[in-house]
Amino acid sequence: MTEWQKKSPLEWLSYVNKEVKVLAAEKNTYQGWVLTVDPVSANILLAQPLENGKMSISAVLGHAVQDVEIVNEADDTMKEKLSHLFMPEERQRYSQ
Amino acid sequence: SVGRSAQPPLEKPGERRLAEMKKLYGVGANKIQAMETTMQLGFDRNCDKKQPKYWPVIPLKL
Amino acid sequence: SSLSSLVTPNTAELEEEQQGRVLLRERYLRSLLAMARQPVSFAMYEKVNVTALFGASDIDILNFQVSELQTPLGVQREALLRCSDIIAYSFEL
Repeated sequence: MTEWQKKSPLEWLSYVNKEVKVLAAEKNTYQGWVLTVDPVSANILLAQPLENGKMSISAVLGHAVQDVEIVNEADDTMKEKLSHLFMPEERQRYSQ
Repeated sequence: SVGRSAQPPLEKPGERRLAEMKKLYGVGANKIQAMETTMQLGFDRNCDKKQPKYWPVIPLKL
Repeated sequence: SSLSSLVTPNTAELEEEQQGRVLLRERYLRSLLAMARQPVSFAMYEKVNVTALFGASDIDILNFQVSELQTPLGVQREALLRCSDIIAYSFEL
């Protein structure tokens, strides 16, 4: 188990709506806004807006995550966008 | 075991007791379990119908 | 005295953790449902990169069932990918 896999749900939750750089296995890096971290697999799900108006969604698998660095915090517009991606009716409880 | 053979898994990995789900998800346990059941049924149905084989045959990472 | 004093800090913490877990898990499960029938790129170990149409995942996130898998050696119509072989995957929404 890696440090990332051992985190608690509330620790993972603190990354939601943050822009992060993820260092993954074999020196791969990924950057995007954290949508969620699956509490079963520790997979981290990222969204990155594209120029064509679409979103690029990537997931780094929990076992391959080596480091997660927070680089930015979402403003209200971005939070709104992120929370509507998969859950159109979600309440805004955790997005302070 | 899962992940080592060239055949799809025969056992259903999704059978979790509700008590365990309640401990993990509290009042949300039923909602999560309902979503998981739907997802697992879809996975099992697709595997029955399409008979997918593991690719690659040998795991890349042991 | 008040009702809240009957709730120990431990219970409150446990409930907060459970609610957090529900939110995180639900979002992830919904993302997997949204991925069905979409073309997805997989970055795997040993610098193996493949694309496929996503089908479904088992609930323990150990195996992904995919179709039309484009491998370096050709197309495999139906396949299972081991999540332990995958570093990352991506698709457009």
